[in-house]
Amino acid sequence: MHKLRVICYTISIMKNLNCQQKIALFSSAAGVGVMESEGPLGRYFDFASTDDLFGAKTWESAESEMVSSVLDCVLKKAALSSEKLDFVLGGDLLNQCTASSFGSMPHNAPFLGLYGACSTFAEGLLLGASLIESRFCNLGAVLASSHFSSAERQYRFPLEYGCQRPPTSQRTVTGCGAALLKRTDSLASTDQLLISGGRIGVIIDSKIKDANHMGAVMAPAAADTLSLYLKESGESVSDFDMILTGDLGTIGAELFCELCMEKGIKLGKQYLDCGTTVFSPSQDVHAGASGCACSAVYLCGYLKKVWNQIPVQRLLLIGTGALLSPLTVQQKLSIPGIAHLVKMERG
Amino acid sequence: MQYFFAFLIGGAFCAIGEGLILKTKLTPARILVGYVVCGVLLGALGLYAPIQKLAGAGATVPLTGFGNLLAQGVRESVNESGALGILTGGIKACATGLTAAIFFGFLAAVFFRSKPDRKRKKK
Repeated sequence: MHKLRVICYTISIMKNLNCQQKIALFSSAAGVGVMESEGPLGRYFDFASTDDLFGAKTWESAESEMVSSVLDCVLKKAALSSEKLDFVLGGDLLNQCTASSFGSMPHNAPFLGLYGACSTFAEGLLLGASLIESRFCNLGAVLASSHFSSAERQYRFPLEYGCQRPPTSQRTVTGCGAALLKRTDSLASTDQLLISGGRIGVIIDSKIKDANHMGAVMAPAAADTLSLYLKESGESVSDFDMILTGDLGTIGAELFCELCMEKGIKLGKQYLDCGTTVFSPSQDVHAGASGCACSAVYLCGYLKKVWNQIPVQRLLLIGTGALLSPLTVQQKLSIPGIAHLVKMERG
Repeated sequence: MQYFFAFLIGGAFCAIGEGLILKTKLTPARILVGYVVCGVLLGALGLYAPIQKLAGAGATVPLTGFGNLLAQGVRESVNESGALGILTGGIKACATGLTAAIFFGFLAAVFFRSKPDRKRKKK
């Protein structure tokens, strides 16, 4: 009886997700704004706007246009029509996630809106993989987007206010990344980017009330998810060629490494924060890039494009999000963080 | 000579604001409101008038000058109409500035579009 109780308890606290059959991320596309196209990863993105407006009249509509165009692009690259999509999982930073819903509307595909702040893309990959693994669906798209100007109006002040941003602040990436997922058994070629598992994160109260200190808000959640994942799977960081966090920025990334050290995890050269790669220091973005698009465009734009040229066999993507709203900050509540981990490998 | 002090004093106000943004957790909105309140206090105590005399626009353009204007306006209105002046004085004194701000802000919104701030890439 005691043994049975121990087994039941152990099973009930196992929270890592493990795919029985790996899910292929077989096509991806990324569209970005002006500053991103001028950054270090500029040439890897599929298209860029010349004025961040994407032909629309408002910043919010611009973000929807960008989402729609990226979905168009990823379907075209895979030579698929939107009828083939069993699902579109999409999220962004705006009120009621209107950018992803309005942006996905023209494509007439079954749509599920997500909100995980900047961890939305990782959340989408885990959920998309689950929908396909469970055989509820065969093929679907995961997308996440953010736009600097609409995010400023949403979270801080409209651009017209001319607000000054302190050195710890990050710049929201104007971009959208979309990935198509399907089961591997229907693929002919190898060397694909596969999702093989992950872990859904727990919400961690950072106790920080400063909305300009996002890196410090999310780092504890990232460290928590990573350490719990490794503890349960029995793996160590040296088993992975690349460990990515979504958008901790320079300050958050340092804090993340320190918190991991405290948990006995030593991160080395394999660790990279997507938020430190999208802009160069000469673009003066203070603590780095942030936003749903950060990890989305890094993975869908850069990583997928160079996947056949880099010696990476196994990687972890830890999407990090700060679950605040403008109201919670005004009401002086502390900002909670969350981090979802996606395990990917070559196969 | 007034140009020198205008830039020195005005610049000092700006430098203090920059220091507050860089070194403290105060949001820009709080700093701006703090400046107005400081201006009201300094004006009420009669300490702002000498700064204004010395620096001219360097003292009236920063938000502390606006606070001082509010304080002077309340003082004059209270002298004229008694206790009611507490309510009417501030708005009366800054009516010009406020109306100009609203009007020119409106004009700017009608004729111009906002753009995301960014450093232009050197070609």
